[in-house]
Amino acid sequence: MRIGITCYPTYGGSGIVATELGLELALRGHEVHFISYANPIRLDPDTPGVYYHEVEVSNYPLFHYPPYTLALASRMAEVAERQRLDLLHVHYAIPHSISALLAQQMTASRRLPFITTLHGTDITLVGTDRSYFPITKFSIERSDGITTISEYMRRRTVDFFGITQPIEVIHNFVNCELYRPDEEARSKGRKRILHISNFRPVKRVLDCVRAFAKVREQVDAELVLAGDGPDRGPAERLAQ
Amino acid sequence: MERLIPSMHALHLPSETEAFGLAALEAMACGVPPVATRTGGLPDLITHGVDGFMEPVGDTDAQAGRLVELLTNTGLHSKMAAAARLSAETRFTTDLIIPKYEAYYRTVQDGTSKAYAVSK
Repeated sequence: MRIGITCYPTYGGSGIVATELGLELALRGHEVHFISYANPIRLDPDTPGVYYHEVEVSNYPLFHYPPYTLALASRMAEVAERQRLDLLHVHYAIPHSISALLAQQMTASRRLPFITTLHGTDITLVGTDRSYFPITKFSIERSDGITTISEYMRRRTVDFFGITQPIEVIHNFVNCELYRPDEEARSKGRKRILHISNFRPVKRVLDCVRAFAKVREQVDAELVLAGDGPDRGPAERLAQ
Repeated sequence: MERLIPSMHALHLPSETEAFGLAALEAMACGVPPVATRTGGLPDLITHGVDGFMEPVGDTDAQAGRLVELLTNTGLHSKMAAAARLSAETRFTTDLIIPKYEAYYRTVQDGTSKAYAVSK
């Protein structure tokens, strides 16, 4: 198949999953076209079967806010026509599914179905914001396919948005060849505890530091904090 | 990340909520048991006491207790690390999940997906 994928290319679960999905699909012989404003972080554009199409957003003085949604829709439609895409798969509802809906209408000469995968804050935070609620609900309802990454997310989507269409739960995945145990690496040095996140308050990284202080009362161990975000500074201060 | 995670003994994920918990899954694949919170999509992923632990949000005493258990009880750690790896391999590996996307793509492409039938 020829598949168009749109995601946020920066750090964050949805972008990582979308990128890994695209790479895995390419390995299985599909042609995968990433359409975004930047090359996704984990994406090697030289991977066979993978193509990257940049979305350029013009920022005229008249536009107080750059119209990314429209630029993305135009690019999606252009890539879909030129590359004869079979479908679009957008990760994170806002604004990607609206752009996909516009692109679908722009490519009226051929059918261009789109799938929206809901990853988390697009439903739990952003989508339920009063400003975004109606358009988020609309774009989900107009999707040709809807998936979520957990049963919890499916329930939240149904509860908050009253979506009546069936929602397919397809869990996130991991490449077990790439991510595998390494006993030798683990056997060296002190015991180590890891935390990985984007350091947003919802991740409660300060709890890592608090809990680690209690661990240290009993075990000679290290805490490794991997990531960056708003709570990095407070976590560092608390640790000190 | 695939080089960092395997050198760890435990993952601590004390989130208020998680849509799924990808960091926990990546850790489990590396045989690193997660100590997480019982919230969001994490119960889809972790079987408490088998391949990781889940404690209440904000209960750092309980979370620290589980971390100490994992760091000091070698037998428990080995058993849980093996179970975590097994869960990743048998429930969430690419070879299982990617075909689900491929199958779903085909239903959407054919116009036979249930969502398509309802929305059009």
